[in-house]
Amino acid sequence: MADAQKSWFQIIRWKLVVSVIVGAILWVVSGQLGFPVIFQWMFVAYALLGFLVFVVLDAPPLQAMTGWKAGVAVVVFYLVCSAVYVAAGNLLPQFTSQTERDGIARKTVKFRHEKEATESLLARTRELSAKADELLAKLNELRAAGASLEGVEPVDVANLPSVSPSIPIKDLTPEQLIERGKLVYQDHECYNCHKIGGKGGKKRGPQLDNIGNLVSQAQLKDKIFNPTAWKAEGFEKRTKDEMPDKFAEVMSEEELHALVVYLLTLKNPSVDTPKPIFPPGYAVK
Amino acid sequence: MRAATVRGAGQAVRSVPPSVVWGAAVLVVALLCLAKSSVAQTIEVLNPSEFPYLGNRMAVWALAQLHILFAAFVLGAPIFVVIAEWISYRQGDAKYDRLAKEVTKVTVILYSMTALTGGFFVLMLVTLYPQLTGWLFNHFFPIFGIFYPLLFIAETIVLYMYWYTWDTLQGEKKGRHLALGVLLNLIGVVTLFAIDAPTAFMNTPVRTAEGMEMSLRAFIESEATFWDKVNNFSWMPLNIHRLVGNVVFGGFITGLIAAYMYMLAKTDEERAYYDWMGFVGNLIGIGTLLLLPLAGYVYAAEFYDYDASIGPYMMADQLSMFFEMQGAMIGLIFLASAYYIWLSLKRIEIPAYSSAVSQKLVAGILSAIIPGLGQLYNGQWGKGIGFLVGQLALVGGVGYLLGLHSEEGWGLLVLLLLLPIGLLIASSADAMHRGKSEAPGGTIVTLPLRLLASLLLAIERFSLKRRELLVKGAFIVLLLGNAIWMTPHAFVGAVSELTDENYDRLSLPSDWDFLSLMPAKLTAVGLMVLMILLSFVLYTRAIRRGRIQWGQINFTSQFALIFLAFSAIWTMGLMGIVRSSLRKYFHIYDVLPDLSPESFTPTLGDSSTMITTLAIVFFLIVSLSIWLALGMARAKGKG
Repeated sequence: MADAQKSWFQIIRWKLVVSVIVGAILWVVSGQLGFPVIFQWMFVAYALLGFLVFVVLDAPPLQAMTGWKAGVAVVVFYLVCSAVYVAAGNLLPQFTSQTERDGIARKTVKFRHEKEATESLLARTRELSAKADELLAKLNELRAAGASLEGVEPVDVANLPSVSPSIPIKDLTPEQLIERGKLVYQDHECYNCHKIGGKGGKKRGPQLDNIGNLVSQAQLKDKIFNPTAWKAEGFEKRTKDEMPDKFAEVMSEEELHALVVYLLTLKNPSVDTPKPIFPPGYAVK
Repeated sequence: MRAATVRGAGQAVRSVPPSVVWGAAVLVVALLCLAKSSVAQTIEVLNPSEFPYLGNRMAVWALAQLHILFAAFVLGAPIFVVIAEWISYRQGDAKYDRLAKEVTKVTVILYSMTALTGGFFVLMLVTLYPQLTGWLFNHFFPIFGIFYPLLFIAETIVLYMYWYTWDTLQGEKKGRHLALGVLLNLIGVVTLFAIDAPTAFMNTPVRTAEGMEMSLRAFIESEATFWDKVNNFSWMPLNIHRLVGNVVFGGFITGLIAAYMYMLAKTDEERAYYDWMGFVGNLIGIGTLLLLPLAGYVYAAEFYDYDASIGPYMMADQLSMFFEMQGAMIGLIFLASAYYIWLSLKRIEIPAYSSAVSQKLVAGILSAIIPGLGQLYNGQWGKGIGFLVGQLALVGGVGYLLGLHSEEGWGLLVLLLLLPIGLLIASSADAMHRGKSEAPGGTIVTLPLRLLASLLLAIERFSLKRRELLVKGAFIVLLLGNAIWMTPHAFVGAVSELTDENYDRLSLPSDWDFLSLMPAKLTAVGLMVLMILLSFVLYTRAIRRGRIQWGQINFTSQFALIFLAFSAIWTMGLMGIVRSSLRKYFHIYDVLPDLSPESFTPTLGDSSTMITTLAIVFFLIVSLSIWLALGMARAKGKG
């Protein structure tokens, strides 16, 4: 209880001195070890947090409150906590929403086309159904009048409008196609498992810097849509963290083509990209 | 509307709040109608409405989050309420019975809010996302159409029976009341497991078997059985995580109730009681919180195992800063809890240390480490070996029944089970050893145990003498642990923001990259858990040796309890949006894409504002409920 008799100055002074020294040491040492400035500030912030914690630990007891005083104190406390949490959430780095939205717009092209196709089919079905009803009604009228079916025109099913839209990648220049492939690589988060140019996932998947020298376009396409088709050296016995087998469903043929064209441009023999191991009798389907 | 009434034998007529009746009716009717397949098929072709100002996604998020907050308390609180009632029954300590009754009183009011928010949530889903809801309801018809409404009705009946028979089922009839409480919990757990199935399915829908040439959606719609859909990858880990989380939540809300009532208390007796209640709430909250990182790890590991792209997406890419925030929140919760222990410790006066040390502490600690070891130490070979074999069989059996899908899941399940069972057996070892002055043995087998015992006793002697110094040391380790936990690979919102130009300015140096990897994070959280355990051990030892004056605690402690409750709720909201965002641009991962304009991840800043708003709304309602249930009753009693 001796702390209760200490003044705030007495409680703070040595803690402040120690925290400043610790903060300074952390700043200098982390700088020497090559940490970027933002991490140096993070270490200093920890020293500051330590200072606050130890001040609170030795702070004098709070006077007991009751009634409306306690109520006001609780409300103010909630507001302070809320403000601090909202501020912290906003101060931490944010991703750019538009980047994600653009990526989603690209990734969902396949699904949008499927949806449009389904809707178009549904609309056409409704239209044809209405026509059929109309014709049936006419037929019934004619039948009732004792007429024959001669002269009734059949519906030209073969000439219905097409419902399978596709992306005109044929219009892209080779450079544009490679750029498109890079976007596909980004959109489908391949970087989380694979490394290119020293950037990307940590050992989950092979580095791809030299993949262009090791496989053909067809083999690479087969691998992406059917990950168990063949494996990379060093990854052949892996049963965990295997490559997801969903890309055939979430990636369009156009995206696959662009991605493979981009990957095949990666021909850096100085990087040890693992060699492919094809199963006996392997042939691209 | 007149309130429905229930009359208990020998009691005044009590009212069931009309909101309960309305809420339950709305939820059950909504579910029954919508789960009927013809209706569900009809809504598949309806166009969605647009929620004004907030947008559809935010509106559904708000209602879902509020519903989960209320439901978490309503499902979590009865677990320790029954345990408290049982302790009171066994030990004859009326304090525990009062605690159980007061928490149940608040639970009954919040139950109506659970039903109301649940009902509105379902209606909102149907109106704003008719196609998705129809699809989901069709595939989980047995749950939405049969089990869930029936379970909800059963839970409502049993909860009110449990509450309204509290005073009548006393004395010899207390066992029946306890049985009702156990039944309530069983129904609650089954309800939780049932509704977790579609929730988990949205994240990790059942996969096609290897070699099956069929799209995932076609497989789910034509081949997958109902059980396949229920028993998906993340279902059981989500069940475990939510079950533990609900108890944590209930514990912290109990602490909140205690803090409010402590502030309202007029007499020393009331203050002493609510001081004690706050301590118990914190003990339950933080005690079970220690298990949450393990349960969370199992849950996350199943995600990694399900789809290798999800793990990096949450820990190192789009959601990495959400986890940065989570690290800060958990660190603050641990610090606040340790601070509460610190304040509690400061009011205990301990007499000079006696050299006559008890062996029961040693047996207890050994049992906590490995169940059965304490019995071996005590020379109870049969019991010790029995415990070890039984433990192994239990863990194996439960693991087999749960059917966890990964090796980590298995290992962590073992740890998860070892800790609480170990602690349980520790207390029985403690009781068994009462009256014994020396440990038997002397053989070569017990020698290491005796050496370990001597070390533990030396630490105990030192810790009681210098307990404040040790707790301060624990704070330093807590800060260090939190610093490691919060060190990211790079200070960016998503990997796509990392360019050749800013890479070196924002990323860890490659030699120090291990700080951002899982082993470092697990070590950090392990350290933090250990420090909290150490603080609790110091505290309980101090109470046993010294004298504690309930009601004399530093008033700041009440704000620590409020802070713990608020932060726990905030963290729950944060992890809620993380779980939901793991579906990326899908309603149901890889199966049903979200093609609406609202298909994007809210930024951490936007999420923080939303979570805070929801936490405040929740607190307003809970504060009002506590005031109605306990504050008003207290004022009325005085009058």
